[in-house]
Amino acid sequence: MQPETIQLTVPLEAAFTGLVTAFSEQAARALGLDAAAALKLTLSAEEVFTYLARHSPEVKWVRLEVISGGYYVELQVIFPPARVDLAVFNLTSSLSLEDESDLEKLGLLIASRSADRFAIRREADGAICIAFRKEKTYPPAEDIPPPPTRPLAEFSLEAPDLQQIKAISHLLAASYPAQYYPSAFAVPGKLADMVASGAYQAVVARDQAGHIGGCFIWRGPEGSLIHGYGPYLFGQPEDSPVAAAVVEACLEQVGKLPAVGILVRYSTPQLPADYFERLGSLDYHRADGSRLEWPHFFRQLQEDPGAQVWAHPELEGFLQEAYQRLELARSIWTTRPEGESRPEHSVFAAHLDPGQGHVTLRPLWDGKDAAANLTRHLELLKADGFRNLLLGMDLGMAWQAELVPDALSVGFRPRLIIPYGGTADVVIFQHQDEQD
Amino acid sequence: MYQPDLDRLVPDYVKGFEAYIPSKPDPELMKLYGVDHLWRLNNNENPLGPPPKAQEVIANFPPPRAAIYPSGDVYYLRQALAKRFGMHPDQFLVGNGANEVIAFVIKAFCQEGDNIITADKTFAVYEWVATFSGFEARLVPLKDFAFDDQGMLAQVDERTKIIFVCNPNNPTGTWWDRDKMERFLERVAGRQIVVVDEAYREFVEDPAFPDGMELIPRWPNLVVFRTFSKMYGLAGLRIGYLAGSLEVVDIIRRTCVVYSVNTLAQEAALAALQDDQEHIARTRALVREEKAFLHEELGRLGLTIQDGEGCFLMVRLPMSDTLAYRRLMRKGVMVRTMTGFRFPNWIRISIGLHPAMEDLVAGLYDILKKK
Repeated sequence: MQPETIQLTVPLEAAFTGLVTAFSEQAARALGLDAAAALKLTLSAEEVFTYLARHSPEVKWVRLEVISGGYYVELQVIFPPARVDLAVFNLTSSLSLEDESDLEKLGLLIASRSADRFAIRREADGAICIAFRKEKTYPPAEDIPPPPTRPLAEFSLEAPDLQQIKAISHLLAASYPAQYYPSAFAVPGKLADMVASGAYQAVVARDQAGHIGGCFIWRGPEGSLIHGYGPYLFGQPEDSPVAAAVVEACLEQVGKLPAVGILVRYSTPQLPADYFERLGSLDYHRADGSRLEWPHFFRQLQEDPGAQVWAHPELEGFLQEAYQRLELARSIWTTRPEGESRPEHSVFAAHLDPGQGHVTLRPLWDGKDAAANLTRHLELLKADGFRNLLLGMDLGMAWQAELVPDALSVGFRPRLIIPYGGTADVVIFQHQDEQD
Repeated sequence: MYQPDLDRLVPDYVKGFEAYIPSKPDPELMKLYGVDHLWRLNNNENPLGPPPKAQEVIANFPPPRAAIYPSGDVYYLRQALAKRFGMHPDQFLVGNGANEVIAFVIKAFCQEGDNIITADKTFAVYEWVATFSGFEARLVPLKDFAFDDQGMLAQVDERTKIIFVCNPNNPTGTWWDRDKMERFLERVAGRQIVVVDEAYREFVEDPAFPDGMELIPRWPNLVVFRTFSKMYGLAGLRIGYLAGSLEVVDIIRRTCVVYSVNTLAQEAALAALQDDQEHIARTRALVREEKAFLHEELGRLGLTIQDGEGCFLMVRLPMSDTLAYRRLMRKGVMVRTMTGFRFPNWIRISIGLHPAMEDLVAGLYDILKKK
């Protein structure tokens, strides 16, 4: 199923606010959101439109796109390049109710908070896109026994149907601890919609009687990468050929896609070592306070043409060691701030998985306050119970590479490199408290 | 400044297609991987180069002639091909490499809603050209590494216009013998154009291998592709051709870009054709000897080999092929990874000169030991 998109382009005039809200709500409902979720997206559209109409006279038009992603609906507000203070979109922004200019930004802050996922990006033509994503509401998995499994003597590989996907969801929750899969996979209806929408794909091994012996799940390409999950085995012996078979079936399917590599952040002990390279590992902090190793695996799908990356001198040693270990051909170009002017306020996007206690911060906008901004994020996220605090830095962008001293100063440490994870390689930092 | 409205201007089938990014030039790769030489075992090039007379033509090409347009329809080479194969010159179309003649055929026969059929694990350009031209490419899985005739026939419908068969298949080296090819053409019965890509035909010594040129008089829906890039060592000049019945080639000629083959390529190909007997014998001997060497050495490493006809073979590695590529590059050896051909963990090795083969084997010993 291809995503459906409904568009509206309107002049940026307050008189059109009613049209914008009516369009956003009806489009969100038509694409499957319930009334409460649709109302939140409507609020986001209204707040951004109103804010721009008041403060950006040079912007003449705004385009709204409401997109169905199967398990979510995304509202995009797109407008021509303009000077807009985006710092309010930080997860940690706090505004003073006494200050009138802050009060005007309050709506924007609420809008970004009420979305499940929020992003700001520049389009190829320079336009600014502010995207709010709301996921549909799904009931949690019912407490029913998963379907029976048995060692498969013979099996075939196929794309699962709806019932098989829901069975996989139940089997996953019954067979693997939570650290082996994103929390959404344990919600059967959601996983079914994620696959039905085409955002995720899967291959299952099953016998003629219909027993599911295992599966591998993937999504993408997103940017240059496919994201893989698994392989998940159900009722199979340790030396089962199912693991390699589902991995190989995935690789055959993605081999010709426009992706440079496949990244497996959620791997299982059954991941066949012959197919992947180990990038390194992070610490996985569980809710009970214990800590596990969290390995990350990768393989390229194409021959490596080499790449150039930006590095702050404080990161250069880490990069050289990592590139040598991974045998990746890279030209490292050093960069550092040299007194040039810098915007006041930085913006970081936060990708949250509350079920896992994970958050990944990514710089969206450079700013002098980056270290303080990161500190505010850390305080807020820790208070909200997030345990695995990550920061991804795109080495294809010199300004991001220059944030290294800010990240180090607040306790982030470089842990691993994801080749081609952004416009070039991405370094993943993990926050480490003193006691770590 | 007005930005083009690309969303409206670009067809959906182009939006969904990703450009092929060729590898960087050798000097750049050598710099990146820190090596002072590079054995090119990735593109099935002929390590002996072109035949001697073609080398003479290239060495003696007068620079002022670069200012003059080439023969628009490759006149003299088509005459020579006609003489070689006992056919009419108008039964040949020459293109800027065989890739260009693939596009000629698809443009000539396909319109909106049509499809082509080929294998899932074969030379990718048939699929690419069809897809970025807006036509469906139906990909039939190989059976035991070979084109599956029954599977392909089962995919045919009334909108199928062309069936592409790579014989011998790149990268598996498998091939259909004359009986199988004729049975297939019999079943197709003229309802589709059957393209048989014989890019590696000159490497084949088995008498049971069907010569496409000989089949054309009996099967006027058959189109045969050949190239000067492989056996004739002219890959850098880009020249290949197709042959078929007069009626079919007359149709394809309507979509053919004239003047696309440069003068040096035309003259070198002509000379190569006139001086190919000893060159073919020497190249075949090299391929035979070096394949025997590889079988012995790679067998010692316990590796699975897929080998058939052609100047290449495939090897399955107990590691990621793309990681093996990077490690071999650091030793000055460039192979072709096969994940992109839907063969994860396989590499394809082009047969090269003996020192290249020795370096390859030493490199594989080293990286597998390291693993």
